[in-house]
Parts: sequence; C-alpha cells; structure tokens
Amino acid sequence: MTELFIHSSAFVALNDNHHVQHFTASEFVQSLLSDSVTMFTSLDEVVHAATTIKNQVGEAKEQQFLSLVYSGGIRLLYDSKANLQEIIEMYSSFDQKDYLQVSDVQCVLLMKQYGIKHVMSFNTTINSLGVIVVPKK
Amino acid sequence: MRRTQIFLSDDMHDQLKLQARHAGTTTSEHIRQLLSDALTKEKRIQTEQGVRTLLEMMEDPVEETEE
Repeated sequence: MTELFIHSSAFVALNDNHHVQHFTASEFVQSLLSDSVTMFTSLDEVVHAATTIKNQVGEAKEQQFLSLVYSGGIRLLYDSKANLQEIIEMYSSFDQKDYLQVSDVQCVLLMKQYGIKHVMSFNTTINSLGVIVVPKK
Repeated sequence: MRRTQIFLSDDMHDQLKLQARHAGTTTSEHIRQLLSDALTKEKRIQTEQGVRTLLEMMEDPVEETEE
C-alpha cells in the first residue's frame, strides 16, 4: 500500500473519542508509520466528516479537524472527473442502498480516477465497490 | 526502465560524474540512486506528515483563553 484514501467515517472515528472504532482507527494510523504511504482525501469527504464531527463531538473539534486538514498533511483531491451520470449508474446498480451513500460512490470513483486502491473506512459496504478497505477486520 | 532526457548545468554534470567515479559506478546508475534516495525521503516525509495530522485529530482541541 503506497496510497491511502481517508474516508469520512475514518475521520469521524479518529475525532470522536467515544466512537466504537476509535481505538482501532488510532492503532491503524500508528501502524502506517512503518510504511511509506501518502494519504489522500477529497473535499467532499472533509465537508461530510466536519458536519458529522460538529454534530457528534462539537464545534471546537470540528474547527480543529478543519485546521488540521488545511495544514496539508493529507493531500486533498479537489478535481473529480467522475460525473454525475457515472455516480448515478453505479449507485443505481447497488442493491443495499440502505447502507451506501451517494457520497461513497463519488469517493470510490475519485479513487479509481487517481489509481488509489486502499481506503481507510469503517463503512464496510464500500468493500463491494471494488476497493480495498482498511483496517481489515 | 524507460529512457528519458534532461538538461543539466555543466557544474551539476561534472559533480555527478566525479561522484560516480568515486563510488565506482556509472553516472547513470549514480543519478538513479540519488533520485531513488530523494523519492524515498520525500515519501517518508509525506507519510509522517499524514500520520501526524491524523494523530493530532485525536487530541483535545486547545481552548482559546481570553486575556
């Protein structure tokens, strides 16, 4: 693994001390130090995560999260060539829409566009969209 | 491997040639090694920055105090 996409669910798990996956997320991030991994996310994932963090943890944590992302340690992918038609087609073909968000489909298409195969996520339905979800269960 | 062509300053070219001779290797191999080391170092820095950013997210936010 040389590139890793950070999904909004991973941001939320890291930022929320009471999140059921907080410890798993923390352990996984620390294990990355022994690898050479460049981390990416998208503006959409940041916005999505910030909203959830504000609702679940509070505004101070949201502000800290945004500042840290802005500091540049994680590369932001702004430009998506994944168009709405592709997103709709992939989303429509998926049976378990109860668990899948349109934003997850957009995120996977962006990963494919940039050749990123691994995603740090706690949304297991992403697995079925052809990317590798870490940390593995 | 792929063949590529770049322009170097005379001084840079001379230094690389000299260093390669001292290392007992070819100039091409020496340049490849230097680039490999630089790319590895850059990747390492990127990893550390990313990990640090994610780990800092777990810390409590610093409250601003009024003076």
